[in-house]
Amino acid sequence: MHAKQIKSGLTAAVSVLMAAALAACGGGESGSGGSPSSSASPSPSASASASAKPSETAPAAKPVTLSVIMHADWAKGGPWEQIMKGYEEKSGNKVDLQIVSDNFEQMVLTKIATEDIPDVLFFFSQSSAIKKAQSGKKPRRFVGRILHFADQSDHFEILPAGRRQGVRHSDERDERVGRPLQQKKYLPTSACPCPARTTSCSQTPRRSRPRASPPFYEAGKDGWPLQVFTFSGFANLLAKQPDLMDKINAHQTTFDQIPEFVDMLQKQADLVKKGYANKNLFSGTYDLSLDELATGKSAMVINADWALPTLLAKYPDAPVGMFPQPFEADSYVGISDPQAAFAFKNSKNVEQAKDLLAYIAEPETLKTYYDAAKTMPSWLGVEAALNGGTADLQPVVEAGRAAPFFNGLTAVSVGDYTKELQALYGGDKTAAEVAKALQKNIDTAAKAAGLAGW
Amino acid sequence: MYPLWLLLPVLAVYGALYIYPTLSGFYYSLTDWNIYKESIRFVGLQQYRDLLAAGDLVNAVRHTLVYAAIVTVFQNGLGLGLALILTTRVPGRNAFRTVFFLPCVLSTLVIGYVFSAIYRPEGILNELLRFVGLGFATTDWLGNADVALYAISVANVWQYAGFAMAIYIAGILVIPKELIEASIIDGSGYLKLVRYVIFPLLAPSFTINVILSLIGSLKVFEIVFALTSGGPGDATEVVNTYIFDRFSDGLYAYGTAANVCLFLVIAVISFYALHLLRRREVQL
Repeated sequence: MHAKQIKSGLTAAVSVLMAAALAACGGGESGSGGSPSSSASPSPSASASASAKPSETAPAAKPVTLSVIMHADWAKGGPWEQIMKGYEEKSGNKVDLQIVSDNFEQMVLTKIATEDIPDVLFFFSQSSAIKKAQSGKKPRRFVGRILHFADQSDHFEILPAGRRQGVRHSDERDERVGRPLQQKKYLPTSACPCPARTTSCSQTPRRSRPRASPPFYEAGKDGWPLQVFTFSGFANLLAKQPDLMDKINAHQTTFDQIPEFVDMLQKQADLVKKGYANKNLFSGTYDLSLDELATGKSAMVINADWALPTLLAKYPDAPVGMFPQPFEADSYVGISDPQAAFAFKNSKNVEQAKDLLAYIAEPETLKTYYDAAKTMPSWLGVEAALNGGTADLQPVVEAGRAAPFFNGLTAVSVGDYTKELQALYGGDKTAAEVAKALQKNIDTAAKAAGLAGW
Repeated sequence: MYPLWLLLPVLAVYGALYIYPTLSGFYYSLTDWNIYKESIRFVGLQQYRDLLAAGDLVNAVRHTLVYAAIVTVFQNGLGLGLALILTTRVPGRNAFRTVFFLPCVLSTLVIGYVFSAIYRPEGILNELLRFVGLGFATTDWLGNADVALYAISVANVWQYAGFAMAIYIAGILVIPKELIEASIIDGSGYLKLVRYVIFPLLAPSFTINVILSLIGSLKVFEIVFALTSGGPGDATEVVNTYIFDRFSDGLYAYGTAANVCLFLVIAVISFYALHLLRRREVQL
């Protein structure tokens, strides 16, 4: 009997203790006091938080870790670690900077589709790329809740080039300019008279050039550098026909109906046919192209000045220069779309993400960036020392002879244009067929998007 | 006899992870699901009509079938040859079995990088050819559209011949010794022994190997992606790289329709091959 009483007493005591403990837990957790059990903890929020963390300020000021994703190529030459460290010191927040090299776009789109979003994303800023990233509604059962990308006003372009006066079509564009990189030391001894018109270059008798030293090195295996030739050349067409892209986007004209574009593709094919590009170009990679150029094994590479930080990091003394791709007497240069930084509306740290973007936009931060990246600052009032190659073309851009790459202006994605250019170089397709295939890619995407005119 | 309801957990997992996604795939191939639209709409067979109209899937299917044929024939031929050799009393046979089996446990991506180096114009293969006086045969193995698909097939055969070998060895080792001894006593040489005794009794192993290599090679993706990404141009485009590209373009329903086509092609070919091989097993 006595034992029973002890047991009952202990049970009652434990029950009371547990009830008290649970009530205390409930009080601590019930933020706004909306809990039905609030009678058990009369002053739920204020007293609990005040007693637990008396010195804590508002929840918004609580340090957070911001996840930031960017492509490895964009991180090169740009002192992002330093910038992020500066932000950490200033704000008290932490930055988890993830630099991705392979399958970047695919990885980012998958992350967005599965709601595994970073707080800040450095991504392509072409409208077609943003459109892709904004998706995620369908089908609901596959990808879950809709994700909205930040509004235009909320996203922030790191390199919005066009604030510079006189730059055509580049109001919100980067100034990473596509044109041949030129090996300064090598070229004067070469019989190839570049820089000049591409045609005159390709008419140079083959025997007059040094053996095994092709004027151009093409990275056919990686493929994407093959696009720069027409991306950049198209700037000249846009200069003459400012409404050309509008017509293409309204389906009033097509790429295969633009004879100058087809000619441009033909010219590109001729570079290979006439032996002005590297042999075995389908094993050529972007990295190899920079090695070949820097070491003087090839005279030129058709690419943009985004190549320079990588090249100069490996070959600091390489005498590399740049000139506009010679399509016209006063050729225009192509400008790539900038990488842009985006904050997500539904990020749990959206305010801090905006704060980070604002920090990046501060003049001192921009100066830090441009001093390291050595690309043409697109922000008024920011000056930076440029790499030699970029400086060569600064006067051209300053004079307004620049226009964006056309893939940044099409209403939808241009698809796998690289593959078509490989087929052109391989002789499997003619220039006209490549133009047609490019248009077909656009037609397919435009129809899928339900654009008017298709 | 266990009660049938014990199957339910497995069936539930299988249904959730395989049946439902497969059926969903069929359904979504009948919609206009793509990255540009806010909502999806049922469009019937439109995606299939577009696939046929575009015509480029035909090229990918052709490449896939050629690739599958090469891989199936050579993987089994090489696997069987190795198995026959390594079930004799050759010294170090266990070590060789391990060495030949090893590539199939390696990552395909690693194999891709290794073969990229081998196939480079200035790579080991061309150097070897030059060394033995066959310099005229050198080429850019992955950049030459005429040979790239075959070069990739070789990499796949190299990787999985050891796997086929392991199954054949298991098959050979369970053949009753009496049959082999009787055949030898009856005066048959090694070739006759293989042809009239070992090979017929290996029929079940042969069926398994052919079906596995056929299905595996029809579904090929990684090795092609690692070596050429379907290029140069579309010279090595197979159905799965085609589907991958369509998904990358945001044309999900279109890509799913192509995937359904691949599924049907694999199902038809596999069932037909299985039917033939099973019939052969009975005849033998």
